[in-house]
Amino acid sequence: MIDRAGDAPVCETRDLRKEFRSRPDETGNYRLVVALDGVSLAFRPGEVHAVVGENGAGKSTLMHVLTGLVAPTSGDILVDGVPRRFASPADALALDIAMVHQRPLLAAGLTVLENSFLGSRGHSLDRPRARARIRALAREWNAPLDPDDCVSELGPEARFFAAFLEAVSREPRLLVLDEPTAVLGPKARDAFLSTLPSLGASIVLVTHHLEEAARWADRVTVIRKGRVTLEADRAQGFSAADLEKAMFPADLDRPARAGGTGTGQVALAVNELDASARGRVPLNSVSLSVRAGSCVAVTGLAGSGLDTLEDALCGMLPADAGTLSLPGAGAGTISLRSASPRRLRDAGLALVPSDRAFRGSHPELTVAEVASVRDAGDPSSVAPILERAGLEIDPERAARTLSGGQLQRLILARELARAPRAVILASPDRGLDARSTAELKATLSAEAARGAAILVLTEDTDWARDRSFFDETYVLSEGAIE
Amino acid sequence: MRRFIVPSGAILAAIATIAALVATLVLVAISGDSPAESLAAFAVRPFSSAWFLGNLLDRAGLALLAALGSSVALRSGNLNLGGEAQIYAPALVSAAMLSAPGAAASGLLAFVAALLAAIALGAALALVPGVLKTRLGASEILTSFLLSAAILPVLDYLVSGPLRNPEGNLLATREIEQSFRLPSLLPPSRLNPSFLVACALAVAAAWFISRTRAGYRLRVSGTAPEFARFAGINVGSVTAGAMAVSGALHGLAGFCAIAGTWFACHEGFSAGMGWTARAVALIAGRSPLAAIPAALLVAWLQAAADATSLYSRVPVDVTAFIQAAIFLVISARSLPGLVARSRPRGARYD
Repeated sequence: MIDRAGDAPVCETRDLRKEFRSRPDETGNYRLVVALDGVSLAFRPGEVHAVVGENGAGKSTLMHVLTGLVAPTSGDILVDGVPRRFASPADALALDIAMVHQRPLLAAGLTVLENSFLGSRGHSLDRPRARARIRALAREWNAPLDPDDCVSELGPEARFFAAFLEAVSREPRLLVLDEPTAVLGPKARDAFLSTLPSLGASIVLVTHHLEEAARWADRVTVIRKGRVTLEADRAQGFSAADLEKAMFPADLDRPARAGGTGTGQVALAVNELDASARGRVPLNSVSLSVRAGSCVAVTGLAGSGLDTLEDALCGMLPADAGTLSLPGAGAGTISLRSASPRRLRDAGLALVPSDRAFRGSHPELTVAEVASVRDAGDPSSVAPILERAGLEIDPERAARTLSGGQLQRLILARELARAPRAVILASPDRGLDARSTAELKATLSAEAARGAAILVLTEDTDWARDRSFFDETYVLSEGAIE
Repeated sequence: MRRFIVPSGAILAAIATIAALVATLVLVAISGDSPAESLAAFAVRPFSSAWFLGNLLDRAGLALLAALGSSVALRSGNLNLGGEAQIYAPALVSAAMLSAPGAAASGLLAFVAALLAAIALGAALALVPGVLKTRLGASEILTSFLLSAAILPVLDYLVSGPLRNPEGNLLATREIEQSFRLPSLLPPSRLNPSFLVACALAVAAAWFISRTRAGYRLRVSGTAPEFARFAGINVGSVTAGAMAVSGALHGLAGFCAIAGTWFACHEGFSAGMGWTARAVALIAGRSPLAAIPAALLVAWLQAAADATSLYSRVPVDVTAFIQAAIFLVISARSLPGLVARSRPRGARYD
């Protein structure tokens, strides 16, 4: 890594401040919420600059200000030392500042190849060359990306890479990556991060993975409650422990689950599930059971078929064979060949998807519309769900303005609102910081204590093997339980 | 990211409308002998008498009814391109039922029966593409258009053959009984209560979409189909229901066109009304209430074009050009997004 601390910054922020209105209370009054409270930063050429902080610390707001999505309440943005105002992302793009969003909105009808042309300069569209280039990059990034895939049919990981490809093709000088690793598996994550310096741009890496920042960044800024609490470059040195101290005021209590539960009757059983789909790892005779009041994990690496299992268990992918039963719910046995999410939910199952952006919610819907979907949009159901989620936000805000952690809290609160008999969650901790993860675990423990059966599908093998939390762990490998 | 770069729908609709208007005015000005005279006829004539004004409003009312149908389908994420046949077929059935010998004797009963038959037929014609999409994943854009295109020649045959008025010289059915004709609100024009019904239905549709549970399901299924399905909404029945309502409203437009405007069904009856309705719905974007001014605007452009070709030496075909100009501008902004959105994601609907 080259020390470029002496170079003039590509982009600087001076004393940025951003205030939002809170959700109005019963009397219609609102409070001002300060998202950024005087942030001054400098992004230098060729550096990977990590911006870390817990969910809701103001990282996303800072990036939105930097790329013209949101106007700051006060403060300046300087590009090459010249103060600039961005009225829209187009203004930022014109100054070579690009961003890859956490939940990218792509041009849905286009292929990956066509989408990559959106940002390209010049007038000729050299398809064969671009196709070859995308294939080469996909190999380098270890990305599941084919140039001729239709963008609307991509999974979250491939969707991220498609957006990244589009941003890179603009040859930006400052490239903002908003929690890129939240959607990537552990293997893809390292392969991806190691390629960043070779882009030659100034990279802003927004993350809450401290190890990631400590390992890959040339410079780190920690943000807490809208303020910078730590700034360090590699020469000064920083460790994951330093960062954690700057992120959280006190040591987090990480509750282990009260033991001794999980002795009830089987409340959720999956029998002999076979499933296959084009381009997916097929499942071969998967059987699982979860007792009332217990937490069970299914884990597996990328390519183990965990995503196929998620879709089949949620009724989003018709299985070739197999059943799901909720004994005692009076629902009997449901064939997974013809189960719809509706049928499974009616039987008393709650479903928390790994794709929060498009399955658990949708960027273009409002918070109220997302929260009330189980009550067919009934406005009176919104307030209790927001309260349960601990979110003090305006329900008319677009769902895309929520941080990853806020969105997951909203989805969880909605799914748990009806005291389900069993809950299936896919990668519920993905993209969450330590505090939100601790909250998630506490919530799931409470649900288990209430008597619900909890089934978690996760790629995080360390968590899955955590005996203080899970009563039982299944390992999925090549589509079968080991 | 598209959404952050493109300005909002309302602004685009305004830009599109103004662009179409300017194109039209230029066309009118250069195609006649005297630009000043042509433009005056274009701008003023449609409002110059009860006859012109009433017919303009009547035209707007019919366009609005069908446009509401188009709008409901759009909000559910479906594009109903079968409007022509969904207007023409119910119109023909209404004309046949209301002109049948002896129909007058059954009075109100025959009128209501014809109304219900028209609505049911329109709904059935749109339900077919809806069900094909739900069951087989077939694109409703193609199937609704093809079904309509296949039926139109059959309807033309029926009008000019078996159902033709043998005593008349026109390729048209018998005129409906005097007692079934909706009264004119602004004689001598054909403005009739169906215009008020259309406006009331626009208000009702806006209320339905924003305030009811079914409206919520419609909205969410249209905007976020995967989210809707995952959350337990039966996206298949929303699609089928929205298409049926869409067809029913087109059918109502066909009925009103017979009972209030033309009193007989002639060959080529729909005459682009289905496409006009689509243009109105696209100008109005996501709002049924906005369809009221949009319908008035489009009706004015059409009436103005007719008046211009009557009163100045501008060719009759200018009407077709105006239609084309509006369509080109509107569809240039809306269609790519719609087609992308309604492409099935390889998923089965439940």
